[in-house]
Amino acid sequence: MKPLWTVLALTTALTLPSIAAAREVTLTTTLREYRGENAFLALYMTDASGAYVGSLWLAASKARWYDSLSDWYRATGGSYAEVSGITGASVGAGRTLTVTLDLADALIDAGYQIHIDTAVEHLYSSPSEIVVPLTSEGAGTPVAGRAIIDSFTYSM
Amino acid sequence: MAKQLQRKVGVAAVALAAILALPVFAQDTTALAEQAAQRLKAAAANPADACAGMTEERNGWFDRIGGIFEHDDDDDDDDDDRGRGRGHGHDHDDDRQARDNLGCIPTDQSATQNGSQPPANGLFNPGSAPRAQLN
Repeated sequence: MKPLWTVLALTTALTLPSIAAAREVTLTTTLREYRGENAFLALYMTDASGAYVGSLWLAASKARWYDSLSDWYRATGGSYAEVSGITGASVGAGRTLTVTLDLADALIDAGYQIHIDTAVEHLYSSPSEIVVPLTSEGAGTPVAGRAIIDSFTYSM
Repeated sequence: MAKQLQRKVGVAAVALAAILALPVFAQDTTALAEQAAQRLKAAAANPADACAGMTEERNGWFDRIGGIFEHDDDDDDDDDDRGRGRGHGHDHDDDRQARDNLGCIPTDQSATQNGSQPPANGLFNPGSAPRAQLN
């Protein structure tokens, strides 16, 4: 009987942290009603020192234009490995992109920042148009971008 | 007299050729329209299947009904695609609408379907599946 309890305790101890260590975060980005083609968006995260940590989502249709998302591209070189499994269609004017992710708890209230680079063919290239810290306090507070992002909000 | 007869024969030949050719054109157009309608119906019934086939079919039926919006592989201005006598006269707004009607989110060549595994970059909960939606 004792070995059974030992195994149960061990599996519980191993499983619980992984359940507790993640939180569902929803990133909602609404674009302004600009005149132009669909926008490319790169959502990514930097640490407290401003260094790139990883990508959260890439809304872009053609790899050859990834370099328009200049801050993100500088950090990643446009590597597909950085965005494998987290890419989608580019976003039209006035549209809202909602991305839901299970993020590690350690990222919240720890100085990490969400960045959004945007680009519209022939019109704009707006690196780090949004930069907001990922904090419990900041959740639900809309932030406006300086070019084409009407509002960005995250909730958790 | 002979000239008049020759002209009449010529006109008759052209008319006959037109009559014979018309059904062929009509059939082709009808078949394409029916095919597109069937695919749209199937897509509406099961959007996930339609999404899965989008990348593979980007040069097939979907282009014909205006499904892929980023398919001008040349580097010229997109205005050329808007039916001003040059390009292929394809309106990107129509494309966008057609794509949206199918209820598919990832439609691009680099896109992944909802539920794919994210990269192991330390940000994501291992085994989680990011989801995206466009409204």
